[in-house]
Amino acid sequence: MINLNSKEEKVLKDMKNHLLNVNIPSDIEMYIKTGIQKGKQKKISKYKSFKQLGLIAACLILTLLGSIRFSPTVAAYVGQLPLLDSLVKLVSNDKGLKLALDNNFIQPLGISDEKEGIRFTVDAMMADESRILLFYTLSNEGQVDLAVENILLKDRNGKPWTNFSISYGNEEEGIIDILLGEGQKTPPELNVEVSLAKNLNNQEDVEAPIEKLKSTWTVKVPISSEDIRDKKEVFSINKTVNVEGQKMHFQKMTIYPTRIALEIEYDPQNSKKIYSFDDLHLVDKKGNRFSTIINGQLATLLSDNKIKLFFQSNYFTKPEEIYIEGSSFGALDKDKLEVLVDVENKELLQAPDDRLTLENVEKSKEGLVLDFKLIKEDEKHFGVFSSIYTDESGEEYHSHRSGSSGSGNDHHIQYYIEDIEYSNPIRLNIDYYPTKIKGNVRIKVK
Amino acid sequence: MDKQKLIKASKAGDDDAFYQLIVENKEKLYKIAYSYLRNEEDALEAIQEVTCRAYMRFGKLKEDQYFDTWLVRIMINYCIDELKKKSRFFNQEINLNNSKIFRNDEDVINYNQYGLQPVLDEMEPKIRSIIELKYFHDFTITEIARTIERPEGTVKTWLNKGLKVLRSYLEKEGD
Repeated sequence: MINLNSKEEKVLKDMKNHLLNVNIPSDIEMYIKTGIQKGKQKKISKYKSFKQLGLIAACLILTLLGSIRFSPTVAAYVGQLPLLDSLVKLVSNDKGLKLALDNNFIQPLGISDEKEGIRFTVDAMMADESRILLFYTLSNEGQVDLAVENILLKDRNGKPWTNFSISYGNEEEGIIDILLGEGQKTPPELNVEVSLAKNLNNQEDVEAPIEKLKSTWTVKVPISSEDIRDKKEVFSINKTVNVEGQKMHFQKMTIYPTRIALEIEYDPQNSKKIYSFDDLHLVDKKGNRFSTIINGQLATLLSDNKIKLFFQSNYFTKPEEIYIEGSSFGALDKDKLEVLVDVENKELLQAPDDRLTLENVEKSKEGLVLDFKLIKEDEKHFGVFSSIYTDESGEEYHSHRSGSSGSGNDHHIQYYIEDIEYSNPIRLNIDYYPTKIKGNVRIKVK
Repeated sequence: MDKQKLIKASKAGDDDAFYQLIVENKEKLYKIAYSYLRNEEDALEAIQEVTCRAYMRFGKLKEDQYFDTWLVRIMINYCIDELKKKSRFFNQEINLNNSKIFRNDEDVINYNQYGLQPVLDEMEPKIRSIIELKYFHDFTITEIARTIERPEGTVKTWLNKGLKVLRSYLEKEGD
């Protein structure tokens, strides 16, 4: 017999009532249909041979993407590569990469390593001086679900490669997206070392354990410097715009096949710190718009006042004219970037404005939670505070966790701090805040 | 078409029949996904992925009459995996997103929908699943046992264990 104490029952009931109030989104059927299509493709890729796959793949990808038009050459090309899922995802998120594909800016590789009956293959690569995209597939005879656990990059001498950022999915086929850091050069050869995990999901166990595999799969990817050299265009802009008294100096734009980098410097005399470019985009004479990168790295901070912003690339459209346009920027007075909290008395001593209030300071398993409320117009969630905070004595601490919640205009932010005696007040730094500056920006690049 | 016929047709390769089977379960699946993942976008992604997995593994379904249970099992596994991934890759913002302890010492009713979320998030996945299925999705002990493929006795033991954790949390928080 299970005895339900009324308190738990009440709370569980409350939670349930809330859950049952959730509306089922009207487009849910679309997701089911896509799921079936995806399942179909995967089934095919598991059972059919390579050759057959090519044909079926080309047909499938065309029917699937009614809205995205492929040139016949690309369709044929895509047909050679067992990359459906990742290609579809790639081109649907990024106009520039779709153009790159359309223009056959992709190099088939088919380099693989096999261990423990599992084959890791880098099927193809897209590379320029700023980014390397590797398309991989995992296949195995045992029909187990595999996941990528970790990827290490080394140079041809086996030394770990540095100054880059990497992202990858953990599925059986996907993209390894390598973004080169400032000043980093494309190596002539990249050793990609992959560790894998067996996803025991297949057995439908509720605990769904993941088992790391012992081997490492290594492939050597050659990158010919001739293929990537001169594949870029550099424009010096040197124009300053003034939005509500805040000056931004647009310096330089480099157009690579896979992305565009725009360097912007803020005037050190600005009274506000600018932290977001809400609608900045590129537009050509014909009205084709290219926005910032949606999935992936949006920007690199070059220094306190300088930023490199990344856009989807129009490299292959070869536009006659390019303009940068935008109208809204996130900005906050520099003297309002610090928030002061007296932890002991649970008091907010300083905040940018009255949108931000401190609701509570409470103990939790993981330390003290500062519970803020923020009123803002949209429902977008974002991190408001940076993870480093200091106390009155100047001692620096690190918040290991923060979260946000809420709906409508009310937004809650939980910021976790160590549960110790502080010399009050403590100082939190604002990274992002819902205040804006507005003004029409239009700059000719070319 | 009744369910058995739909399942038969699906097994024979009729995608429309399979679609119909998932649509019949969409509300239940969505709510389970939402209760774990807590936002629309992720819950829809879950629907898509679970449909895909179910489609791929449909041939392995042995007892047709338990199709619905089987679907729920795939969904739960998917959700648990997603939560694991999130805590692995984004340890800065673990699944605390959206979870909030609304405190009001006088009346537990004011613990609103998120009241037990933090403690559920930290619970062992198998125990959490049992509590959610029983109290949020109105599964019976027998149905839960079938879903997670454990004996009913085990389900009861784990359920008790989970409730104990919730109770001690509420008592502590209510002080």
